[in-house]
Amino acid sequence: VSWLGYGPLLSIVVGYLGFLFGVAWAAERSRRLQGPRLRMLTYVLAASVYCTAWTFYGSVGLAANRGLEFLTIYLGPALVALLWPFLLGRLVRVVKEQRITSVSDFISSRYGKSAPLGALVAALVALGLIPYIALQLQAVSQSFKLILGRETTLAVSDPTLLVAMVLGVFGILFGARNPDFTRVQRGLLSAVAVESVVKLLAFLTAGAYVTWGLFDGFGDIFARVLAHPELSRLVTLGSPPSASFVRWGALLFISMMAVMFLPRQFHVLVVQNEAESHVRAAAWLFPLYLFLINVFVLPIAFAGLMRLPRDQADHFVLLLPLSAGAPELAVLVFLGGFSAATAMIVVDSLAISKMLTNDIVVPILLRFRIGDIYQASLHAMRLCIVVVVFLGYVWAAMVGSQFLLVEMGLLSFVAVTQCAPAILLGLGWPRGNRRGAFAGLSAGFGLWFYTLIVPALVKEDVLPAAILSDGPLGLAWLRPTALFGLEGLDSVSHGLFWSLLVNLTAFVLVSLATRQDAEERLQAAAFTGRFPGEGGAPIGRSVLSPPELERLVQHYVGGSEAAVLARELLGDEPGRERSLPERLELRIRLEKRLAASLGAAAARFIVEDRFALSTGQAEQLVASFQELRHSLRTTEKEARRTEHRLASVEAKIRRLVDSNIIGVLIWDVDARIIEANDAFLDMVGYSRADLLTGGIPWIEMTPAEGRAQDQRRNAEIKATGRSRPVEKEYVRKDGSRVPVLVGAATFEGTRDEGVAFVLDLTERKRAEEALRKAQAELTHVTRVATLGELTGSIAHEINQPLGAVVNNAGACLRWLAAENLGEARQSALRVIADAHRASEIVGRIRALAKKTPPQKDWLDINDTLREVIVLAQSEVQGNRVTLRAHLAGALPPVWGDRIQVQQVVLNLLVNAIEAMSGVGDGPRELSVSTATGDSSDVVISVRDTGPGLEPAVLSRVFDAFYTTKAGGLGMGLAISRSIVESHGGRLWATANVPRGAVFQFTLPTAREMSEDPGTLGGHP
Amino acid sequence: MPLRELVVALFVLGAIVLSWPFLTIFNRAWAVFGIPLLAFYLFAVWLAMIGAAFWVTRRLDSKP
Repeated sequence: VSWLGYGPLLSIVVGYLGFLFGVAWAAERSRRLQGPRLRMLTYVLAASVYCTAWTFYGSVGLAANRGLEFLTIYLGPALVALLWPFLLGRLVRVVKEQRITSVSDFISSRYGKSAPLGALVAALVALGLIPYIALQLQAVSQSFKLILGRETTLAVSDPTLLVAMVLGVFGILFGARNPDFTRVQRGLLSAVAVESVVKLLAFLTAGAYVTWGLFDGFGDIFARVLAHPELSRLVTLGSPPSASFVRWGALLFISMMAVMFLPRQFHVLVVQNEAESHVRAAAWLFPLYLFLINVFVLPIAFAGLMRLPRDQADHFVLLLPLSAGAPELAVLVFLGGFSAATAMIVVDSLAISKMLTNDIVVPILLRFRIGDIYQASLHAMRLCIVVVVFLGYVWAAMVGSQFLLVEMGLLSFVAVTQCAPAILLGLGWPRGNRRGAFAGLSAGFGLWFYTLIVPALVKEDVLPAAILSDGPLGLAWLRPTALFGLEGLDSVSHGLFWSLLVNLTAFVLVSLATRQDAEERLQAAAFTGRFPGEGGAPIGRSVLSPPELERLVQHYVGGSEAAVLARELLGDEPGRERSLPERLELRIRLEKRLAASLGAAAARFIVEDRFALSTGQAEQLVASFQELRHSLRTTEKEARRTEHRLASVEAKIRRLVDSNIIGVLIWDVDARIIEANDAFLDMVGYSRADLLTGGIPWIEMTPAEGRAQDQRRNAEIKATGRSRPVEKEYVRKDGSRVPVLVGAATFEGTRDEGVAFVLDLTERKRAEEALRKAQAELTHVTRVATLGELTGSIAHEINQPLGAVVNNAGACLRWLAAENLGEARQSALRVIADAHRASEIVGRIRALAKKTPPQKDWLDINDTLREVIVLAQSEVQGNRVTLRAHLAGALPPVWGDRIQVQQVVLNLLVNAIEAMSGVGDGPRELSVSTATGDSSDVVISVRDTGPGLEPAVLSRVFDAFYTTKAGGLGMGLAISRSIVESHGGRLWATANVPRGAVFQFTLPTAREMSEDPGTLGGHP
Repeated sequence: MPLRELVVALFVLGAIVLSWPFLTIFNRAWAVFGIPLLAFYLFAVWLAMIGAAFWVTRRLDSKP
């Protein structure tokens, strides 16, 4: 039946292809063709690229051979479409956010932008899908053959090659014009959508023609079928039921996965999605399309079975109109099948090319440091399209078997299903990681090949049949269709079971057993919305400054595209300085922007590689890091040491304070006592509570007369930060006083607070008092002893006036007897005078002998000396000593105690007289003299002409208990010196010229500074 | 009931009614309105799923 020649058919085909070019071209330019409803419809119809020639021709063939089983391929999608508003919506969001371009890109991106993983998926999916493309070309070729009514072979003369080439060009023009796959390829989608309409209309028309033209409706056909003993088996699921139901479920499942993850489906449904509302529309419109295109499958199949040979079942759709004499309808059907095949070829080859380019070619180009990677990738993708289509053609020409028309479709479905765990668990399970995905996909695809492709290759006589019947190397348990002895399943269920089981198991176990790197964790979080496991978010590694970004874009993208991209990323002010977060953001945006064209792995490679550290920089970084760690450790060590030292110092201070050897208190300028130790509290008799509550200001503990002194010392502390230790008194709680030595200092850095050290002087004062008393006693004893030595002289001194009294009293009596009253009166007056003289002498001796406390006064030193000289007078004469006094006139008064000064002089006189008493011959001269001294003192000298002092004696003569006299105490000179020194003078001895000794002492004429301590006040 | 859970429930229900053993109920060579029972049943379920998806879509679209 050759009513249509080769030429007209070719012109129809070329015309139709031209029409599609026109549609694509118009869709890209016309605004009217871009309305929201039309865009939504375009999306849904483009998604119907799912229905290929396999659907168009194969469904009928499948139905004719296996009954209702073909429905699973469409029921599965209809079922999973229920989930689309959520599942696909989620997928779309992630893909948009990450600028993902394909299934392999999705998996690569999800698992840390891994290039090897992407390459694996791309290669395996391409391997699974290229035969599927071959299938379409074969279908086209078959339809050519049938409609021309003659045998043609796939050869150069065959229009199929021409068709393949034209489809390649179409893909290049409308799909691969821009490397950015996230941009909507409106022309391509529109053409595909139009083809979907054509194939649906063609099939519906054919179905209607068969059902109502050739038969009398559904009822007629089905009635005949049910009446037919053989055909009636096809309307139920066959026997054995178990195998059939298992296959049913398996097909249902793989079609669910395939409708989303086939490269063309992912491209149209996910990558090219414009709005989430389109996903929701597709959720019911797409199943409706599938419903419609399947309505007439059973009638056509049964009609074909009733009218045509069974082995032509795959082409009943075309053959029924042809055989029934409706060639125009046959042309329409031909165009429908042609549309289904070409749409699939264009979209699939484009999607596969993108995968191959981004996940295999671009990473290789990057390794070779190709600069303008943007253009290079575009060229690579165009080349890939041609190669993929051509490979499909070659495959179709070489294999050419009918078996594959059905089976090959299912095998590619199972292949794509291997990606499902990595994708779906990747969306919901943060722990899933790169190694797990790699293991799962490798194992899954490996088993897919072994259980499904190997048997196919056996059927094509590529491999020996023995592998199927006996197993490889005769190992029966390794038979590809009954692995480990699993029999009773059809090959697809068997292959799906093993490949998916191993895939899932490997993915989950390896994911659980291995760790994720930072990039993986980041991506896992981006895809699942949760961070895997514990630990915080990983930190982005590199940031971009605007100039760096421009350089990078220029290098990798190049040309006018680079300028556009830079402007897009940098906005209106490209030169503006960016903060670090902004630069990080810039890096992320650039990476995503590049990912849209080159894929996630390549984009990451570019961004990371460009700013990866050089070896030198890395070493520097490591060095500075180590330095930092080292210095941290040092600082820590030092801090610990300092802390240790501080602790020991504190312990020492604490010990000092708590030992309570001295009183310690901490005070402030508000007169509060902030802290005090027990020693201080004991001193003042207050409890800690009394003081620390601030109830007793320290200022009140100072007696009233010391307050002025306190003020002076406060000023001193304010000026210098410290005060000299001074003696003062505190008033105790019970009102008594305690003598203390107080030193105070402010704390470093503050003038408001300070510490004071208080020493209790009570004991010292008591000891000083005792010493003073002992000294006074000793002085007195010595004085009395000296007087004792002068007893004879004193008796003589007293005797003289007493004798004069007796004489004058006798004379008085005589004058009275002579009644010479005038003379008697004179004698009586002399008696009184002599008695006074005697009384004076006795009084002086009494004064000397009396124990009186020292009492200093201003003295006329010459008068003081004369009184003593009188006492020694008779002693001097008794020893035949000549005493001369050379008392200087107009001497200033001296400050001292009269009795003590006289004691010293008397002691010196007695010593001199004694010394001279032993001298046999020579003059015995004693001289006492006074003179003004060097500056403000008076010098008293006692010279004798005795034997003098030996130098050895001279140095010891003032020591206590040292004596040269037989009965001496050895205390006289020692006491004398201490008396002189307590007056602020000096007593010393020298040799006299020509012989004898000179004892001299000084007495100050001004009041000395060493005053009694009782008058001193002070700071606390 | 939140829509998301409802949709999952519908999906599970659909999976059950489209699988063994539920399908065996309809796996008979009968005819309903002249159409084989199993085919009729499957297409009916299919339409029901389309209807459910349509309803879900309407609900989602009406929400902001």
